[in-house]
Amino acid sequence: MSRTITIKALKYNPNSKVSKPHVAEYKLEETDGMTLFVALSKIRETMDPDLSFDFVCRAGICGSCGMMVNGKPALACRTLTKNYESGVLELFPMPAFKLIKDLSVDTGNWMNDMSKRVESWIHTNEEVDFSKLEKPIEPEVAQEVFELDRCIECGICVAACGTKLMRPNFVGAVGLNRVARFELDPHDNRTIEDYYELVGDDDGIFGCMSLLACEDNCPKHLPLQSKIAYMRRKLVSLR
Amino acid sequence: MKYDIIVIGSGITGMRAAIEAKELGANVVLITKSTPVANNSYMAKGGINAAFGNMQDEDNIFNHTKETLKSSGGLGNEEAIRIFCEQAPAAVRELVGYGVGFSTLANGRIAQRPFGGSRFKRTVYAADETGPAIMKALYEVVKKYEIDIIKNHMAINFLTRNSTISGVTLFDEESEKVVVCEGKSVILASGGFASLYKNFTSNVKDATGDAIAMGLRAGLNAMNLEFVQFHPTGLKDSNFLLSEAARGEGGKLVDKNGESFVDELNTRDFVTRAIFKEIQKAHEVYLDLRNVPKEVLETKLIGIKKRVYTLKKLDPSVDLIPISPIAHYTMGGIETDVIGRTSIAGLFIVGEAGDNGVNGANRLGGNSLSQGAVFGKISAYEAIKFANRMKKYNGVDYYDITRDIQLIDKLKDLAARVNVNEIRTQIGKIMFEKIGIIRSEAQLQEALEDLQEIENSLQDAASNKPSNVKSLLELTNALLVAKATAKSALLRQESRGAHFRIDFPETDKKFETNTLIKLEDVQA
Repeated sequence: MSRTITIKALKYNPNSKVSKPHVAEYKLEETDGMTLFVALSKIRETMDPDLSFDFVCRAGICGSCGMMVNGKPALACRTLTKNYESGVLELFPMPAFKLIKDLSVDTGNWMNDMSKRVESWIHTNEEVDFSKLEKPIEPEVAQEVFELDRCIECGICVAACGTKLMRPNFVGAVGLNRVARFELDPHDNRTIEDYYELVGDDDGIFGCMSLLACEDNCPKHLPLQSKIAYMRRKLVSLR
Repeated sequence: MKYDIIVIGSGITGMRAAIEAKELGANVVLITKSTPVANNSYMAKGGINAAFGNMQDEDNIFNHTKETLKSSGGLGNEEAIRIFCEQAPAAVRELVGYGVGFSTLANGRIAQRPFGGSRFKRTVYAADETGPAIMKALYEVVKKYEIDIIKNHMAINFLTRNSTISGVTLFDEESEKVVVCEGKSVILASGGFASLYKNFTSNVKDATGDAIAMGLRAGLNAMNLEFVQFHPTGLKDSNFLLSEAARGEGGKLVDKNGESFVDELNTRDFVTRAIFKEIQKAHEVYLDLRNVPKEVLETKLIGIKKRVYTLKKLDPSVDLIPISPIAHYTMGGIETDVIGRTSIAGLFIVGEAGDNGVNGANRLGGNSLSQGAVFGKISAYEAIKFANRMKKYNGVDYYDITRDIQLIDKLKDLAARVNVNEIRTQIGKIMFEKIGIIRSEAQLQEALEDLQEIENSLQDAASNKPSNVKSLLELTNALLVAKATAKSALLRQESRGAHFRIDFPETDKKFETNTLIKLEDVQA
């Protein structure tokens, strides 16, 4: 049941003086279980070596290959072409991030700033003593913390977010998820007041309008909205 | 750019080294050729070994040492293995302190699971995504300490003077220029070369053996390159790895009639060859997770379940999962002493890039992450001691820089007419078919000829599909390392650990020694 699919991709290099944004069109045979990543690699190998897109792991772990597919953000390595009945896939780089070239955007620096902003690391005054046993952690808590740690910082929740369009400094579901993760983690000694300092404003937890696109599009299916709602209730109690 | 300590590579080894150096007060930089998440530590799923003994008393340092030594097939360095096994529990505890959320038991202690090649439950895990959990936490610590990170810079060569390191030359991908980074000591932790098996590997595309090529060019010995570990259970026709954890939790390896043909939890090389022999007989091989309890599939193995469903539309609780072995880890590397020192003073090569004998001829599943944590830390400690003794910078020989600028100019010319992606695919095929799971003299010779042919054809390549310069630099390294691997495999006329020669299927006492190879041997 092989068919020919059409891939349209934006091509533009903002660093080049001659480059003009345009949409390039490629046609190729669909193979069994073809992911968008496989299709793009094939295009780069056989048709257009100049096409830029990011990937590292090809397995939905690294979060590098986020892009807009027919208007919705998705990971190229986890998008099966056969799910697109029309056989036409229109690819654009994710908005909200700095464009590097074609489909390649700079999520790294944005995520860096986000991490620093929400101080996404363990805050504790306790010295770790390696000769002693580590502090016991309930398995349910460990599991819950880990579930939130599944976030791969692909940027899809930010690209999908309506609030982000209105508030350029919005920290995004990814940032609020980090806060929720450390709030859960018993290693972290920060209090609700500390988190209020970090995200208790309209660019943080009170900016979210619960449009749900972050959770709908999250490739790791994280419970982003319930975590945001939970943190919001916690923080609003301080107001 | 001038730093006390230069760390190259952003995997667990490099990050751990950079963090340790920073904690000890050094002026440190972390250099990575693409982004800090583009590494194999991030890809690791199954777990990290440390003999905590939380599950059973037999899981102790003594047994960890014994099993690591056994899997090394007589080539393991006892001292390195002893240091590693003794330090592993502390190293994992440190990771907990950095905020890694490992899975725990009902009593709150860290949980451990069984893993290939081990009789005891020793492997610490964070569900089925241990690597990402560790790397994310370490990366956050790197950000917190404000350690300088230089992205998209690929190391070209070492700069040395009087057999002492003075820094590295880097290729800046954005400006396409050569950049010099001076340092009092250098820790190279840029990983192995399993991604040369393109399309037959679980590795990220960046693991192209750059460290080994750099080492060879600097006159160092490459050791035991022939030992390439193939992971038995890659999902067929994809690069997705079905972690050892799946078998640890009760998954079975079966043929199409659902019959078992091998002990699933034997060492990886044994299981891989058993599968490969079935495949050679044109039999399909499957992973059977149907007997794994539903709650385990839904928690510990949920990533596998979801992924298998997206890619193959198979439900592991009902269907058999088709598998095929893929290149996973390279035991060999640049020869170093136990703590990663090389014969260039001040240069440390650790992790998968170096070979201090801790893995010998084969690696125990789950050992690599803890090795990175242990030796990354120790090397940082030693590097600082060296840097403090150095007092001032060693100084750079400008001839070396000119040489690398000329090299890059040459590559720029080639880049305009070479289609690297296509050639890398060819190399991947050659390596899997001829320097793969089962080797023979004839095949290895053929591989060498094929590789030479590719190298020769580069000069007058006239593809109208240009590539970028970095990928060409990687290709240069890849060809050198691929040839060195084939030569090493030719030299070892026996079968041992992960190296299996069909023409010499027995282990030979005579070869119970490391294979060393130099640049001259590769080019001869």
